[in-house]
Amino acid sequence: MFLELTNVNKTYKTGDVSFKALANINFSLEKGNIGVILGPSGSGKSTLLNVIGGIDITDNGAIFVDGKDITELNDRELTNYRREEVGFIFQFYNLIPNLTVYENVEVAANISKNPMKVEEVLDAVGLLDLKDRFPKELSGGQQQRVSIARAIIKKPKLLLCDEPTGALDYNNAIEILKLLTDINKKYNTTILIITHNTAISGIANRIVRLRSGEIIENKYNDNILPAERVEW
Amino acid sequence: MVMVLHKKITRTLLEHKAQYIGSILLIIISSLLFTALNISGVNIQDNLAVFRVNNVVEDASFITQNKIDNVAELEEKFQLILEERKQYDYKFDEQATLRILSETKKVDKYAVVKGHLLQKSREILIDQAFAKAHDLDINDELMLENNLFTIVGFMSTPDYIYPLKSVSDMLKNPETFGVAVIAKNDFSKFQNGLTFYSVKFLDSNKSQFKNYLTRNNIIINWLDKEDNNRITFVDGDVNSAIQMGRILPVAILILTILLVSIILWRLLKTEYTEIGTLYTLGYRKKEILNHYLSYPLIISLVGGIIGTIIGLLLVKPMIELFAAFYNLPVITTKFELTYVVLSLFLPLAFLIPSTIFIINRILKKPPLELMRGGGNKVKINFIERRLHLNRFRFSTKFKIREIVRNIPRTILMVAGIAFATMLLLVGFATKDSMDYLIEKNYKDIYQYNYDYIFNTMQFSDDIGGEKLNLAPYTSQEFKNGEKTFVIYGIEKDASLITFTDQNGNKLSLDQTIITKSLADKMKLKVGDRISVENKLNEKKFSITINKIADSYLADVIYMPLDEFNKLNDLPKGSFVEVISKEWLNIDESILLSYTSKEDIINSYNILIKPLRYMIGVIGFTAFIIGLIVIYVVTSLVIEENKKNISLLKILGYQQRELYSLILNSNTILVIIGFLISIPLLFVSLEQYFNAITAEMNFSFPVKLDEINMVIGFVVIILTYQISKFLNKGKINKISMVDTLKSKAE
Ligand SMILES: Nc1ncnc2c1ncn2[C@@H]1O[C@H](COP(=O)(O)OP(=O)(O)OP(=O)(O)O)[C@@H](O)[C@H]1O
Ligand SMILES: [Mg+2]
Repeated sequence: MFLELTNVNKTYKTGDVSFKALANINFSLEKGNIGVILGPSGSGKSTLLNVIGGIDITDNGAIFVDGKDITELNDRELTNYRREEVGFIFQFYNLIPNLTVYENVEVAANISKNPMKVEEVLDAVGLLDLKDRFPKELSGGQQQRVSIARAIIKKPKLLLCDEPTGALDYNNAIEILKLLTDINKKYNTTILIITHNTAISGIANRIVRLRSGEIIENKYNDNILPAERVEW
Repeated sequence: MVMVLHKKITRTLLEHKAQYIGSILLIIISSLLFTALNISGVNIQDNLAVFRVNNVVEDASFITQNKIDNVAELEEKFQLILEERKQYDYKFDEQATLRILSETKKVDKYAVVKGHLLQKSREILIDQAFAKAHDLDINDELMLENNLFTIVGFMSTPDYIYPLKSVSDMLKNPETFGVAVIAKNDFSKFQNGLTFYSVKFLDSNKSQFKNYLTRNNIIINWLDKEDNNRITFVDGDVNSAIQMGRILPVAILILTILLVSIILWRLLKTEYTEIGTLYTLGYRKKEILNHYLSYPLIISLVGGIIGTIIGLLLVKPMIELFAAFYNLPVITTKFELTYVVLSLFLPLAFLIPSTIFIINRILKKPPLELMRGGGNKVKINFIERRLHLNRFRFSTKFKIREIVRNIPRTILMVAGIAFATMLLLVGFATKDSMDYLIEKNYKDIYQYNYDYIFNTMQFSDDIGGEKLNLAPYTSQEFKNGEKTFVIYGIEKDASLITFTDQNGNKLSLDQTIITKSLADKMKLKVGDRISVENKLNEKKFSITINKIADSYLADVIYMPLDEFNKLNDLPKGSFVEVISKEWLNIDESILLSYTSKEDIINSYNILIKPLRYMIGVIGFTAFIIGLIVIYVVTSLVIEENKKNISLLKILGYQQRELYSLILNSNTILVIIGFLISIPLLFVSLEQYFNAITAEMNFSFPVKLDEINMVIGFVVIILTYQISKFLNKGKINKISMVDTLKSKAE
């Protein structure tokens, strides 16, 4: 298994109150697969993604990524893991507003050992013409493509997407999903997508459903749809 | 409702305490300097004025060939106060001279600083600095030429406020020279005392009086108060302290305006939505304005009050220090309410209007725009848009954009660094300039070791050494009226004074040479012709400037001795000064003064000592100001980049890489600030030196050694490194997860 979580727990403490955000999570994903995590707001989806991405810590349990338990890594190793192996895509893009499109992609290329060429990636997401614009001069869909370009330039093994289409209209959302499936095919990247939009699970190999921090459903998808046939 | 809002102030102040404490510290420094320098300066000025009036400072002193017998008659006739005085230079030890003056009753009356007035014979009063330097105290006994005197007190007199052996000296040295007063009758115990006169004019009868003396007697030496360094030096120093007390605080306040404006701007921008919400809740603009004005108000008041209090505490020690340095009695010290009020009011006057302007600009926006958080939207300014950075490395691009993005912040950084560097180097430059003046003059120009000035005109050829004649002159061709200077007659083949021009070419002494300092002050060029008037006998003639000598130590003109004597109707070969490499055995009774080069160099080294502390104190202040500015600017950079830093962490930037990207973006600004400070320092110091030496008889070229520039640079870089280090924690504290939740720009 490329990604494997066993008995992962996560508790938030605010003052004396503690809140269980993830309760005994077990699931796995094969290399090159697309996984979708569904669940209502507050069910712990983002928390789960963050611990897999190494930007938040768990209470206990193990998270194996490509054979390595990332909960065992120290700060430095965790940083290196994020830098070389994971790509992030967020609902609100999180681009750096004062850098151009080109430079926003360079932010990631700059620290990667063996990145692709910025032009090549921008071409792949269809933004080469807009490379000197600033984020606020782009549409939401275009901004999300920049963030995808930024995530894939280092050729990550694992791509983590938190509501990648959450802020987009239908057409733009489909474009982004298509881009993600293309990347999945072209580079054999394992992708984990978080969404509360059930329709999106059509493109996934595996579908996991969360509620109140617990997995309530975990299944294979036998009937995978190409992105352009997804509808809602 | 408004009260509730105010609770927020404390929270905000605490949350960004470093920024607000930094601003308060700057205001403290500003108010402290303002209060301390101005109040002590004004007190000293008042003291000086009172002392000069009460103790009747002379208008001039002079020496005549024959004793004046009709003092009372002359006083009546010319409406003046005239006092005959005696002085005797007692060789206190190997190197020290104690000048014994006869007690004065009418002019230049002595004041007792400690102890009591002269009451009977064999009592002596001496100046405190000399006493201290030679371990003398009240009730000690002093053996003067076989006569035992008892020290009954310390005194100061208006004509020896700055105790110089010779009036043309610049450097006092209590180790080698001091003054004392004894009763007139006791003076008969000393042979060979010099008799001279001090005069105070009650009417403007100076020229009539001099005319009378020239006709009925011979004036050997005439010294106006204005040309007497012992009397005038103190004024320049007090003035420069007061000047500093105005320039520095205002400069610091301007820096503070920039700092506080940027901090407030930043605060308001993060609170756009809150402001919009308050509007919709029915708050009036004025109420919100008042709320935000509390920040500058608190900063200015806290800083102003603390600074003024510390400043006031420093007033008394500063006055005492000053009074002790100059031999001055402290008659009164006043609290000077005006300056206290100003010191409290100035920070408010500077900060409130500028912050009202900033706050108003934001409050003007429609509530809806504010609600949408318009302020958090990033604006790309036109410079950023025009930058074509594609050929640079990523980190370079990032840093360039960081600098260009917030122009006020960038200006603050450069201005802050430039100001701190200037302050840091001003002490060094002062010392280097003085060193240059002394070195250049006493090593390169004046090569004699001993200098003798006679109390009467000499004609004899067998004294030895090289002969000079001299007299004080005035010229009307000066920007503010009259300028006084000395003209020397020098032998054509003299070898102990060597002048060079700007290019280092040696000037021959068979022509009329003017020093650079005098030429600059009078705006004279080679070939100019000026008319001059001898101050001793009012003889007038014109001279043509042949060469300008690269010398700043004195405002003087040199011409060939024979020509000098001819123009002044003096016998060929007459002279009053002799300079020599070797010590000459000259009877002291015919000498007016005698100086050795060694004395001068020693005096200089002693005088320069307190300057080292000054350099230290100023340097430390500069360091603190630099630290505050860099620290606050860096923390602002971090705050503005909070989201970006969080993102960079997610993307896998290591701590070291983050530090370098975020903290080092200002390195270039620090270097730019340093580089522009150097020419700025030269220009402003030149102005400053010119202003304080305009009325003195020398000038100050600005010099700064490379090594001190390097030291300045190292200190500034160190300051920068320290504030970066202090800010590292802030970067580490930024969480990766939190920022992901909020909607991005
Ligand atoms: N820092 C925190 N401190 C305390 N509780 C938190 C913290 N972060 C998240 N939580 C809680 O953990 C739970 C899971 O949050 P999470 O962000 O993972 O939800 P989500 O499924 O991503 O929801 P959404 O679809 O709205 O993004 C929520 O109930 C939230 O209140
Ligand atoms: Mg979420």
